[in-house]
Amino acid sequence: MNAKLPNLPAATVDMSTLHNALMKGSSPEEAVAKAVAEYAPKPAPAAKAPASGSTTAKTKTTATASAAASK
Amino acid sequence: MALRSNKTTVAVKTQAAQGTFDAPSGTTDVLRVSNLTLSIQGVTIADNEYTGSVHKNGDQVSGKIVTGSFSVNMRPPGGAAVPLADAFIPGRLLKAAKFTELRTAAAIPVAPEAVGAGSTNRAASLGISAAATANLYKGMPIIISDNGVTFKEQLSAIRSYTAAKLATLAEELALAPAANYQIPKSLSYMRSIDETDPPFLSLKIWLDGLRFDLFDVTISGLRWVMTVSTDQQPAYPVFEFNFTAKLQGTADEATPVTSSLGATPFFRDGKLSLAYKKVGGSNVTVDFGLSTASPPDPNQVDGSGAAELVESTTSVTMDRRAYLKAEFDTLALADAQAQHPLLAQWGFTAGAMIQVVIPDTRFNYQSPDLGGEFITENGDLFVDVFDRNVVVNFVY
Repeated sequence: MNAKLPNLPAATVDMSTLHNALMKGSSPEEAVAKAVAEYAPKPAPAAKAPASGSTTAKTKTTATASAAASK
Repeated sequence: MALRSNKTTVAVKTQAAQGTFDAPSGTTDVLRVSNLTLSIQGVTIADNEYTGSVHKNGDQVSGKIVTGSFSVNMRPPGGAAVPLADAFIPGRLLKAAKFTELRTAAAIPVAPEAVGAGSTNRAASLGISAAATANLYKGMPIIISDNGVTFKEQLSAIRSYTAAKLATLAEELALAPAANYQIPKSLSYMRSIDETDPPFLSLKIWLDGLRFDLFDVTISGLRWVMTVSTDQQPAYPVFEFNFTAKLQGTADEATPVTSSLGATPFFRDGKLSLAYKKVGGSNVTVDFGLSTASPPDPNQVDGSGAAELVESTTSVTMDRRAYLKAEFDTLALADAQAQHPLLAQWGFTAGAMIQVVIPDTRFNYQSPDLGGEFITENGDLFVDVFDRNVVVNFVY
């Protein structure tokens, strides 16, 4: 295991997250990634999955599969 | 009414993406600055076509270059808690100059802990609560409980850190630590040398009701000027920024008033240590030697992409007292070209303390200066490419 901290990026790094991750056994690279992710812009929430029984979603899937099979 | 210089305010916001102006708020993103300049310079080319006479047409105007500069006092964020990420507005400018913002919202460990065996006047052996990862605490502040009585006496800085939990300090203590240590809460800005690109900024600049909106702002020059305040001449320690930008537009809007931010600590009643020697002097200046350039791009309005940081060479100049050879032999230090730490620290109490830490610097040859009442030495210190090679800590 690499026991040296990698170079830090030009971003905000959370020291508590970094320290705690290292104390719990994360590698330095994993710990830095977690500490940066703490403040990284969060991705937009994923589109809500269609409710079960939705015919629209099923139809689309079928159509796509059919189109692919016909090629 | 004529436009008045004092009615000037700047607002700063980190851009989410290159090329898109993110309007800073006139209330929550404003920054107090001084010595602001704003230059809108035309890019011209001589009209070289013959006119059939002895007369030539005037230059053709191809575009404009927007540049500027201002100073920001080195004033701690204040408050009892470390600001949230990207909330300290001068920090946005430092991040845009390729700094890591290190947010230490809780002390490590939460309660002071006994130092381990093996501490010396220049190193503290950290205890069980410290992580065994080399470089982890490099550049960070540390409180050594038996190094004096007051907070500012006990406060020191870590020059380097090993996987064996030995924290080498940036100064030499009177005695080896034998009681407790703690890494206090802090907001730190540490020079980043990794491959990530710094973010772009959007700025609003109000000049007594005339507002300039700038985007793709790049920090093109950065100096930290720490002038010592004496009983003859006080001075503000400042961050000096230069920038290049693209102009989004202008508008008429009343200048926002910035509230009082409290006193700026003067650089005095603190510490200035170089190569483990407490040195006197009147000034320390760190110049990051930034160089930016705009790549040609015919898809852009002015034929160039946003200016990007392309080079940086950091150096330190000091106006420092000269010493006897037996006391501080700077000639021998320059001959040896070894690395030495520099620590400048000042401020009042926890929450209002500033540290500038340069873990490793090399001496150039220094010239004696007999121009004043005291003999001083002037000359550069060189800073090589190491992660976190220049750090400013706002300590709580």
